[in-house]
Amino acid sequence: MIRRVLAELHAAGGAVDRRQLARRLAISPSMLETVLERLDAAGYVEGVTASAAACRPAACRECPVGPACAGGGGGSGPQRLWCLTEAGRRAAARPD
Amino acid sequence: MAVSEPDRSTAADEAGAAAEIALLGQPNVGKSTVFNTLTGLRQHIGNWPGKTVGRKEGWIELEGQQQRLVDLPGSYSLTAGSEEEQIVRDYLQHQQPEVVVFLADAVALERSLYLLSEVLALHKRVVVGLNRVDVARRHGIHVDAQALARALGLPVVPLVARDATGISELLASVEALRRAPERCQPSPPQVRPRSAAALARIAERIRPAAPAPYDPHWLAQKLLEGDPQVREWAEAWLSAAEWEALDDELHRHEEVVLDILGARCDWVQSIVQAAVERPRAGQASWTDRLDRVATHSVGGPLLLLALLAGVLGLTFQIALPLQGWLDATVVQTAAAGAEALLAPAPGWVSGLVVDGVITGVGTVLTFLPILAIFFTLMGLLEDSGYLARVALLLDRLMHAVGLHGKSALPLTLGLGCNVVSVVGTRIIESRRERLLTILLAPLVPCSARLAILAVLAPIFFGDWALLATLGLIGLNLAVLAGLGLLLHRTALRGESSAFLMELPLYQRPQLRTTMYHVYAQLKEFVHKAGTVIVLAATAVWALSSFPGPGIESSALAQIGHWMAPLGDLMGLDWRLIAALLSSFVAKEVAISTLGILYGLGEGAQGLAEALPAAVGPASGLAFLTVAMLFIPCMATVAAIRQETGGWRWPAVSIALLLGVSVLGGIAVYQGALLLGLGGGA
Repeated sequence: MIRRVLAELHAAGGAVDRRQLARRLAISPSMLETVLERLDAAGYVEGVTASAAACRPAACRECPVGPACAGGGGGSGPQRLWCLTEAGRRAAARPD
Repeated sequence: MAVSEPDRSTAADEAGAAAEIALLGQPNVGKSTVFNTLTGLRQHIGNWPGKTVGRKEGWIELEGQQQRLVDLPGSYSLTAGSEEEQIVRDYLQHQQPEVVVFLADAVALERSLYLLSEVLALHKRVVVGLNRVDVARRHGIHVDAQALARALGLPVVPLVARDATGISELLASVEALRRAPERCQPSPPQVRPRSAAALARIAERIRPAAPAPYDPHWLAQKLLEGDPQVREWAEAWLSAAEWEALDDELHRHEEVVLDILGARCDWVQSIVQAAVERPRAGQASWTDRLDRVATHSVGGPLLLLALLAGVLGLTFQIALPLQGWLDATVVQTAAAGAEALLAPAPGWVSGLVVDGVITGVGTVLTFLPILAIFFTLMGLLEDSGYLARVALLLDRLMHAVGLHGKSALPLTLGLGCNVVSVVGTRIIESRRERLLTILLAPLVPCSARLAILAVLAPIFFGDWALLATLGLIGLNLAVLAGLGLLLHRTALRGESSAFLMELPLYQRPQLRTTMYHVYAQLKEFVHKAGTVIVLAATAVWALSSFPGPGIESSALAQIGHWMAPLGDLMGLDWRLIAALLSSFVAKEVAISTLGILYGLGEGAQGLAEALPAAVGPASGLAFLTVAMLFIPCMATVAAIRQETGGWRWPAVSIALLLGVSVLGGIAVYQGALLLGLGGGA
């Protein structure tokens, strides 16, 4: 399942809706959330988070992407956006 | 190695209590409620030794004996990512509690089971308390406790902790497990044979050095997971040569971690499949059905086009008559009144007030009905959840031109305002991607440019306004994609990737919410008209009136004439060029400038009458093309400077978009002439 998540993200032609991906993988959104958290901890995906260096001039609450950003104004809520990291792209491109 | 040794100096120790019971679970699963219910006032609160995390322990009576119950800190996994996670796994390995009461959340069982999969690698005597079954039921989630127990090989007790439902059954289950530990027969996750062999090799390397109670197999798993604490231990336990050899082995098998995580996730999934039923929610199905079209690779853009056409068509149909009425009755009347009132004053005062401020700002304000209808319709679409799908479609376009998925969010924000878009690029860590997105952001048609389009397209093209507007938005997006592709393949090369987002469920738009947003946007527009546009209109009037006599001898005309050769290629006279240049202050200023420049002089009339008479369709099309692709407004340039830390990238952005817009204007004008559209301004 975990490799399929990576493969689906790698093969997707653009943004993927989390609910649609969960349905395609025949798992619950909550299961997908768990998979993403583990992939994030292992460095294969990353939550969309404003970089500290870029954020320095402004407070998180003033940032337009705050609600979607794990490190910013939306930090207390669930992570809403995820991307493959370089390691994730490498792993997804490699045959299982 | 720092191992947390629990504080044993408590009253109950003196009473001779024996082995411990541990309470474990993820944060917010109701652990404290269960702990308080079980222990009542018999609690002791302190800190875990050497940690800042609080430690709670209390006393429960099991089979007539006082037993210590330790409330372990909430954690999501047992990788040493936090103090809490370190404490839990240290405790399980060193303290070896007699029974672990694992609290699972029936609403989000998957996350709880993932933690359980890790716990079972360290401790097998577990009773699962399935909390929040009442909330799960309300969400339509049915967890079959018996099926869950069979699948896990562990006793499972349904609970509603907040009203103590199931607590006595939980205690009974703990007592039963103490009497018959063989009741626990869990089958923990198993990795694939290929990875199991790698794990075994790593475990063998560390086995001779690993002290009790650490299991070499568990240590091997954690090393492959990149666990910082276990790596530190291994480096300390092994000689330099042994560690180097082990580290090499870890690097060779770095992707085994995917099998370890995958085995746990597959295990969780198999348990959930065996024990959980989730009826399809009606709202989600409705959303799913709509999304089959809205996010389809062909149907999605077509639906977007149809909705956009509907929004613009309705805007033109309803708002244009209102705009004409406002112009004829309010602006013209105000201008005539002010002219009469200021008759005794010097000519330049009357000129400034009537031709500058009233004509300039009035022209902009007459378009309030257009903006009100446009913003209302777009607000309804946004509130319904549809606009999030536009972000998804836009991201596909971005992906096609090689942009990173993170670029889609800030670029989508640009539909409101390009400044927000530029600031929003902060979520992109890569400087290359960030610069690329910043350079493309001003090409996203912002609401101010869409307003110019909504206002001027009907004036230039009459019945063809809708088609022209959609064509111009399409051209804008095509240039955005083309330029993105060019930059991606040349100056700012790199790899793109998709991103995963959460589309909200569709909902019936709330008129109140929508109207609040419309009010806020119109207020901002009026505020801008009263400040920036008044100043810009005054400046444009002064530049177009002095030194005179007549507008053709003005300073603005001289600047415009100087740029005439370039303007001729695009079919733009000096007044249209002046309007474009003035849009640098704020995009809407282009409208007030046109109002002043085409409304000045004898027989002044409204912009709606004056403009079509003076500007042919080919020139009108070229003008709007350049306006849509033109250099960023002043506020956007300032934002680019702030975000890039200097003037280099704002200069690049201005030069790039100036080139693109002029080339676009020339191509569109010449093409329109070839197609037989009348030119000349």
